[in-house]
Amino acid sequence: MVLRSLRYGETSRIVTLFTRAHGKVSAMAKGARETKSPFGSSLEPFCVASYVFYHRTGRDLQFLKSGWTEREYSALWEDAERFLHGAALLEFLDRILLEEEPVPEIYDLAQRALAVLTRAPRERLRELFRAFQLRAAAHLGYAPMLDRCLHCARGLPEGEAEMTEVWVFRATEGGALCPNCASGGEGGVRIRPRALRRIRTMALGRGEGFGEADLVGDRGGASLVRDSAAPSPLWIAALERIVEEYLHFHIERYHGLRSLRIRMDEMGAATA
Amino acid sequence: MEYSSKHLEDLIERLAKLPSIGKKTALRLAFHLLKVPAEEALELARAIERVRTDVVSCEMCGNIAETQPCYLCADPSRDHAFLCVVEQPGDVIAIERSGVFHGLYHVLRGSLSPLDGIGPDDLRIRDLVTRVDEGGYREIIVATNPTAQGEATAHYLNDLLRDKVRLTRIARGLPIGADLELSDQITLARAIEGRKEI
Ligand SMILES: [Zn+2]
Ligand SMILES: [Zn+2]
Repeated sequence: MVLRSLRYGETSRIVTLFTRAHGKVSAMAKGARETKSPFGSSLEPFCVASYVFYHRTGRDLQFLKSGWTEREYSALWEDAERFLHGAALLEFLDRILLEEEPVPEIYDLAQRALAVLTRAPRERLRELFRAFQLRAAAHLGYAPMLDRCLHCARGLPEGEAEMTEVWVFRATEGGALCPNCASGGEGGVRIRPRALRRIRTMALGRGEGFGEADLVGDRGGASLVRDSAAPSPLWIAALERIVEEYLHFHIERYHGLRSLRIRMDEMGAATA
Repeated sequence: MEYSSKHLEDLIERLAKLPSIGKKTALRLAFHLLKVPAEEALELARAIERVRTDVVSCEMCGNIAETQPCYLCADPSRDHAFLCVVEQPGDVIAIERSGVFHGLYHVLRGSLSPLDGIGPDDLRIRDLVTRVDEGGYREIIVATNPTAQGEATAHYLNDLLRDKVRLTRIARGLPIGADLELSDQITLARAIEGRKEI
């Protein structure tokens, strides 16, 4: 799949591909913008494709010979919010992946995530995207500790305490702290154990997947993918802050995402 | 100093900043400009100056213009009931060349591209909405590029305008990924003639 594409010269493109076998690869695609291009739609965002390229080790830019599209997540073009989150997914991958280091788990995860973004309720897109980020980070070896206190190893409480205790997520330390251990330190996001448990489910998933079955919300096991009830803004805000702070701190090359700073709804609101 | 003249070095550096011109080409161009008759080189400098001072963006359509409004917007023989939305001034040239469209244009100056930080506010979309509100157009033809960004822009415009006016999208005769600007006249003419409701 294509993460990024730049026009080059009169008719060509320089593309950054994410491949299953070779990881992130930069390549020159000659004639890619012509009507009779040997690449068809394969260099468009949200197309999963097969490519033929000449690979030479140590060369910064490989030569792309041809490409053909296997699957097109074109539903992502048809809705501004989906388009935005799809673009954010590509931008995120481009930021966190290193050149020519294969990470097939993240490749498979990204494909499933694109499919999920095409059909999940719009209200759930922000959560789903954050879940995707957490899982991708976990595959790179950055999984936050969320099931117990980082200091005293006390587990998340069950029952009523789940909704009354206030824990703290501290990105700089890499996870959650119980009320006792959090009291000494500075900073962090105050959060209920129940929300922490939910983020943990989002970060780990159930088994390998990133699909309908394993994105479980908090209301009676409703799936994030099917449940169209809008999540509370407070929960979204806490989740986004936690994910952003965590990624900023642990993945140096992550600097937040441009795509997510764009507001697609403004124009509609302004004219409505 | 790498070169024997500070001015020469300055020129080479400026040329090298132009798209698809590398350091080597910049060097060749600079020496070429030194070799040709002075008047020829100065004429180039003056052409650059003229294009930057006399060429404006048409307040109506956003196209490159020398008058306000541009000659296309001002032309009474054009069909003012049809408005064609394109990404770039180059697309207007391509469609004009195809000869099948005789209405007015609206140049967005780009397409929705979250990866580049370009959202609706960075394009001339607000101006388009105002134009449609004031305009009395019979049909808006969305001729953004057949790329993911172009399609996303078309769908966005459809959501925004479909209650106000009839919107059509140029046909999929153009392969996905191609540049409107680079497509041949016949393919482009067919795409415009075969347009459909979004
Ligand atoms: Zn503790
Ligand atoms: Zn004009």
